[in-house]
Amino acid sequence: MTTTTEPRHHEASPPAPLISVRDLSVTYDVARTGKRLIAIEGVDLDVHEGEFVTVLGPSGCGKTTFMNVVAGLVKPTTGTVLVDGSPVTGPGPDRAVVFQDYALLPWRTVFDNVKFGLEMQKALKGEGWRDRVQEAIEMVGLAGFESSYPRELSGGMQQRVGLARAFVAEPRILLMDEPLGAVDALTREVMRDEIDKLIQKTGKTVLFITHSIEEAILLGDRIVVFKSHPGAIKEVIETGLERPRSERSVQHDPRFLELRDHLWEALQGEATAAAVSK
Amino acid sequence: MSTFLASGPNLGRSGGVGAWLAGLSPAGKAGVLAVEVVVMLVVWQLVVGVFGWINPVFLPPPTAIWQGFVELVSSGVLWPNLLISLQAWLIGFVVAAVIAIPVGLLMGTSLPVDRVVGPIAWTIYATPSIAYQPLAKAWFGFGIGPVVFLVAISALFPILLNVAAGMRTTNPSIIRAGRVYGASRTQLYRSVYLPSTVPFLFAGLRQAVVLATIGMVVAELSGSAIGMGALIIKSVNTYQTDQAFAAIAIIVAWSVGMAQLVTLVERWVAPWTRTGRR
Amino acid sequence: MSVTSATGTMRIVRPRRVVRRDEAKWTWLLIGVIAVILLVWEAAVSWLHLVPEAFLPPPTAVAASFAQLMVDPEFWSAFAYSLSNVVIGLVLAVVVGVVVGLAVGWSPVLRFTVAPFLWLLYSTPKVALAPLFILGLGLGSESKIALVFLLAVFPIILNTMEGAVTVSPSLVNAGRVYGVNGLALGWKVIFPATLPYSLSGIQRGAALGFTGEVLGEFLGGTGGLGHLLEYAAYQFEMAEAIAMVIVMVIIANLTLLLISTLRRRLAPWYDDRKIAGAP
Repeated sequence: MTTTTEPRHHEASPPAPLISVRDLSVTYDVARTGKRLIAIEGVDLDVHEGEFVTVLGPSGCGKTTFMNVVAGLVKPTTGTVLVDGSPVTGPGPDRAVVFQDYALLPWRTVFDNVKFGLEMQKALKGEGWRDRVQEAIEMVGLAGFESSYPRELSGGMQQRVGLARAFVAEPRILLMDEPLGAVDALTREVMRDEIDKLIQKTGKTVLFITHSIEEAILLGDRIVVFKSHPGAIKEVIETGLERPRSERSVQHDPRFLELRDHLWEALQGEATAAAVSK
Repeated sequence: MSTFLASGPNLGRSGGVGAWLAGLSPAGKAGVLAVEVVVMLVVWQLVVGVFGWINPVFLPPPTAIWQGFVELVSSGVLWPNLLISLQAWLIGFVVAAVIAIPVGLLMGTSLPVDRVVGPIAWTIYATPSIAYQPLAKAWFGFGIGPVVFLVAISALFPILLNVAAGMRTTNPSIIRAGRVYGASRTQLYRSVYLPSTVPFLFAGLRQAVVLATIGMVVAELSGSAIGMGALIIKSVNTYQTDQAFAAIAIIVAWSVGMAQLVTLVERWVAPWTRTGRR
Repeated sequence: MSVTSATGTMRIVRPRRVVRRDEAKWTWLLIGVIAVILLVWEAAVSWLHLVPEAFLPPPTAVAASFAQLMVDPEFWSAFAYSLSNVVIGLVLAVVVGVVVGLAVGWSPVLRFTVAPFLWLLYSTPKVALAPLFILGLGLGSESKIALVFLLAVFPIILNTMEGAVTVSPSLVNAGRVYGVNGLALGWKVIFPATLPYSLSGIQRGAALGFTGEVLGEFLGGTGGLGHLLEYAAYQFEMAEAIAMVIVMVIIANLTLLLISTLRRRLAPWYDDRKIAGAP
């Protein structure tokens, strides 16, 4: 097993990481009991430009909290998050989020949902933005559905809208919070391959949260495994598999099987621990 | 009649009557209902008008009610009373909406306002508006004033409380999406909070139509010299119950018609709600 | 939020309060605001004479009238008269409403044939029938009880029906698998699943029944709180009239509280928001 733990201090070594997380902890006050709940503790992680990092962990391990801190939606209790060298103080146009529950505006058509990001950033001036929106819609395969409302679309198609909305804002970093968690198994496979292709084509830096081992291996350059109680990084693994990958091409690859078994064991221990602690 | 069942919002959502009826084609539904209505009217006519099992003074048969309607129209009694009632209803309803919508929005925006206005509004809303009728009569005299007051106070709180609830229950995921894409506070209100409150506003308006009509009838029955309620009292006191029933039917038609109008406006203003809400 | 449910009944689901430590702060703010309103009212009427006292008596006068009412035997006999009418009418409405609601909700044939008419009657402002009831049943308690019944029964039928319709088939099947059948199925599975819906209907029915009773008293007869209120307002004894209105506000809200407590006690698993399908 070749597992490499993230080196702790290597800012000096060029190139500098695009996302740099140091000693990050987030705690919440639980109002009713007056206790403090530790969501994540002591997280260190560097993500370099163009890297696809998958974050794997059981539910309740704080991986979504971690992503929300990077997105600027949750403030760190201690520690720092740097994006391109400057600390994160809130959401910014350099980061876009794809949500598990799509978070589409039900009162907007596909086209208007996709343009939402541009609109909020006041980027609807001049010409060209229509073409960009149209391009993004075509990129995710939704041409012809521009004037449909979200409720008229299947879950998979709604998430395509979410993807287009994220891509059209042209962020450097894409944060994906279990984007395929709510779509059916078949769609999930198809969309996973499509996301892979899109990311390879556009070269975006990605932080992809998932609880599916296969998804983590098939998509990630590196896999960050979270443990729970408290949420923290358990290990970081380089996948080292050739791209393009597909379920079929890798399912007999010994490296894939080795990774899968390893992660399976790691997660099973976590899941049992979580079940017992409840 | 069939339109009630065909176009009632959310009918298909949780199965039930809507889903059951949905199995039929629209024409089939309408047909079956039309037959039912005819059967019902014939039975009614037979029981009261032909066999005389019920004293027709207390429940006139359909043909007598129709004659009552014709008498009301031809004697010229109907129009002045109807116009006064509709005028009072419309003024009261508009007053209620004009007050309720801004206050509801304010409640949804500001927590202190919500916590002060909320309990007071719920307390008044829980009390049937008939309790305020004698005060209205004492303060506003015997004209249209008390009717307007009672319509307004009946319609005010459902609108107010629905709008406030709509603001408060805006999907947090969509709010997060707004923040991620850089929406300012104003943008968040305009693009996220207000649109997601629209279905609540219309639900409140529909409820207000029903309550406003009850308020109007109550106010007119107990103290007006003119209006549909006064017309009913006069007809009953002279044993012309067929005319009273005709007047009641007109009020029902008005109430149902206004509720349908609200639904039509909703479909036009908020087309995304057209087939049931999420 | 307001919900239009399967059967078209409407209700606002009051957003749940999140229990926070700073909640007490808002209670004090509320009390403070009410105190300020009362003070301004008192000042405007008794000290600044902006409003004639006969028109809008100051809070102190209203409070004095309220205290007087509480020791007035005439008030209590009116209270007992109104309450007994409402309770009798409501009990009848609950019995009939729950039985009819369950039957119509459970039988697809009845649902198709009867439900549309029930819905039409539910959405009709039946208060308009009040004069006919007085005409038919006289000025005594009978007409009022009948009016309470008529106004209260439809929300109970419609809500119970909705509950029976939404009892999930898998729940019924689960009951069957464990050998629960017939009446036992109704008692152990369908009734508890429908109960919270019926209670919502009873809540709405109680409010409408109250309207029916008061309206009946306005229109005829010489007993009851409604009559007392109307008489006070007619005599332009505004302090007493306002005190009477406050009594009614208290009665209405206590009834509401009682029923929602009952619902929480009998069906603690019931979540209005879940049933309502709130986002």
